Amino acid sequence: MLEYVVTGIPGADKILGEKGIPRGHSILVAGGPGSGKTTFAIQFLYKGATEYNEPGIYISLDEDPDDVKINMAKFGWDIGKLEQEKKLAFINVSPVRVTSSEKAGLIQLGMKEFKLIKLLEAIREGIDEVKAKRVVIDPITIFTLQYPDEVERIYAMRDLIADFRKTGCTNLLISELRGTGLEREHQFEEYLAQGVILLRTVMKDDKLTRMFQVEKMRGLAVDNQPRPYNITSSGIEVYPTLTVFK
Amino acid sequence: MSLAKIQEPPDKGLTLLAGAPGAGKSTFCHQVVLKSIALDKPVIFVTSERRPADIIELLRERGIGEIVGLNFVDAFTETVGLTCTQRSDTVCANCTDLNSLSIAITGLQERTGPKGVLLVFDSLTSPYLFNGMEVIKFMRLFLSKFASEGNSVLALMDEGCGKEEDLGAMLSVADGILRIETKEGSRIINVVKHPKVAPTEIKLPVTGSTAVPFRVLDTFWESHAKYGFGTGGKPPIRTEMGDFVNVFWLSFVIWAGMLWDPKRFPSMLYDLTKDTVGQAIKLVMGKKAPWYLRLSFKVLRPKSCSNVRAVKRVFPRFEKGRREHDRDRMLEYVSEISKTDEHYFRAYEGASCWGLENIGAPLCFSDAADLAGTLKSMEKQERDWNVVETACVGEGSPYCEFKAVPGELSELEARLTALDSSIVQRIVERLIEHVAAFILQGKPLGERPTLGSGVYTHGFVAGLALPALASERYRMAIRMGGAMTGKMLGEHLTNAGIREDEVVKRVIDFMEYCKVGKVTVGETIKIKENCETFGLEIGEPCCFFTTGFLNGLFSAVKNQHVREVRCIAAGDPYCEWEIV
Repeated sequence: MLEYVVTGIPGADKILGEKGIPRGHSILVAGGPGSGKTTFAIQFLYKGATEYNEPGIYISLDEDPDDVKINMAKFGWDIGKLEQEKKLAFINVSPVRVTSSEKAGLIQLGMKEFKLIKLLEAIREGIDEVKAKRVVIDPITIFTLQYPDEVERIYAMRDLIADFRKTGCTNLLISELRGTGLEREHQFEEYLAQGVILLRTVMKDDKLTRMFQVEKMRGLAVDNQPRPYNITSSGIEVYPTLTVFK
Repeated sequence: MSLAKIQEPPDKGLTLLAGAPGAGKSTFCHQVVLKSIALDKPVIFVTSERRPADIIELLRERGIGEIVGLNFVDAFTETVGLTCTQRSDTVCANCTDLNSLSIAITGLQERTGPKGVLLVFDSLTSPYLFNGMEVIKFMRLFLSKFASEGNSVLALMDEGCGKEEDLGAMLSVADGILRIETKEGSRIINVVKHPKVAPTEIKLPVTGSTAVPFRVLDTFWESHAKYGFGTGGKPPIRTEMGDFVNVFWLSFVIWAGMLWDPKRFPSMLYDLTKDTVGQAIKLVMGKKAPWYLRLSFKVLRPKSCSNVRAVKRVFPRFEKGRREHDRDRMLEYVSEISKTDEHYFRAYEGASCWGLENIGAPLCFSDAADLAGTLKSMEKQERDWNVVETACVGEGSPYCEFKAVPGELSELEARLTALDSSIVQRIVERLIEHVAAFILQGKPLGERPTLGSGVYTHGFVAGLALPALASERYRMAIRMGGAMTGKMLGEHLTNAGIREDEVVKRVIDFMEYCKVGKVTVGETIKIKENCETFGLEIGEPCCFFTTGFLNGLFSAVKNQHVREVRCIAAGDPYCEWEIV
């Protein structure tokens, strides 16, 4: 029997069959620039920590966690307090921005040393530290970039997901979405992940339309239609009953 | 077929109101909104044509007092490129983005609840101009769906904007279609398609005029005249209830109206009463009264009422009939302190201040206005007279005193705006205590030493229905005030420990005791010979106070609403309300 993890994001759980995400699954959250991927991820962790007693870790591969915290303060989420209470941990494993001589985060990686094993180690330590049930890797794109060879990349990704499965944590893998329009090519991560949530933005004339779509969710009957969503002052809000007008 | 019926858009229906720009769509739509508020039905108002503040202003003109249950989607401010401020009852959206509209409306449902909401969309023209045919999809997938979930939707659209076939496609989505047009100078609503009403044309009353339609007055006084003037109304017009209604009911009604709009109701009451009384005397003495009365009026009527002697000679004759017949107050001319163009009158046992001794405010606005209208028609010159109350039982005086002058009267305005909601609240509470004392302890109501408890039934039509016909604001005030008093009374009695059904029964008994009409409550509520409209024929239901009162009572006690389905004024044999 599958257990489910309520995301806590208004409207999203209704689309996820009123249940949420199957526990232990790795879900790819893909969106264009400014679509609210990081907001979605932090909201997932924040709600988990505050409302469902599920501590979480946020593994940053790109942005400085402090910047993320500052950005998220506008939604009224007291992240510092959760860190103190050991309900939320930020782990910086940015391979690009941390130089080899600098001590920062749990592990220290230069571009070349960045390897799957190290990443997994960091994740495990983080999980142990807060007894995490939810994990976010933002963005997974940086990780895959380490493997220029396509076959290698797919294996690394598959290993990562398999390893996550063992931890029992529910994971969001944040990814950039290439081609946010209606016609687009599928990315290989979409095939590997157990679920895919797309945050798409479409520009028509000079107006922006945001669409939330659960493209796939193994183990769950979901509403596959694109639905409008908004980034409000209290985070992401999805409107599960509304139709997207273009 | 009545206008009232189409002013309540059907549940689970999308009604489109089409018309050329300026045909009166928005006006109609505001009336629908007011009606909905009066029925306690929450409203979501999507405005793309003007700011919410401007709409509130327009609704205030039409008589809204407190804004309850009204929520806005401001699709104007942002669309025209200004910054829109989000508030709890106002959500911003942009006409260029249909998603923002649907999201905003959905967001407001948290305040209104998911069902039983009136959604007004004024108008679809801007979204159509920005989004073209995508709007049809919006109407089908959002507005129709919203309606089918148990709400009513009224959407406005301009004819002549956009392509003919687009308009046709938009109309095809609707469950009901109303077209508003101007024909030979008057406005007509064409009911093209309606789930409850057969296709028909309805002529809209001219709005903005404060005069009561002449034909209405004419037929009203016709019935009044039939039974003689100043002869005590024998035989009674109301065969079952008799012609006298308890004086208490009159003050109850008037103070209810004040409760809704204390700042403006006194002025409305004053202006409308003065006007109606002036018109009525002119009509009656011109042609309706028996020949001998008309003749003596003609002979006795002075050129002007300027000097004391003239008033002293004519006034008591006027007053005699009034006292015996209408019994709403006893008025005396005080010649000793009067001088040319400044007359003083004293009233005893007046209806407006009965039971409100020493409440701390002057109360007799309608009596002052009545006197002003009378003085105008008493003289051949027919100058505009104004009357102000200089002493009142409500302020602790043993009588009410009025000062009358032709032309402007400087103190008048201050007097008419002296009330505030706390005083009116106190007054209405005192009245509710009187009713409660009657209901709970059987204390009699309205027993005046000389005049007794009854006032003539036609006074109600003259004081309630006729002004309401002339003024939307007045209508709204007595209706909503009625609802507030009904609610207060219901709550008062419930708090006294009386069961729901018993409360309704006792209030009905109280209404019968007051001789409001013959009331029966079953599946529906029926009132025979209802004093609010008895003798009036206008082809429209217009028991505004009674409807409001019953609504307030039923919503407080049983969480139900009532809707007037039959009315004496519409030509039905009795007034009837269905309970919903």
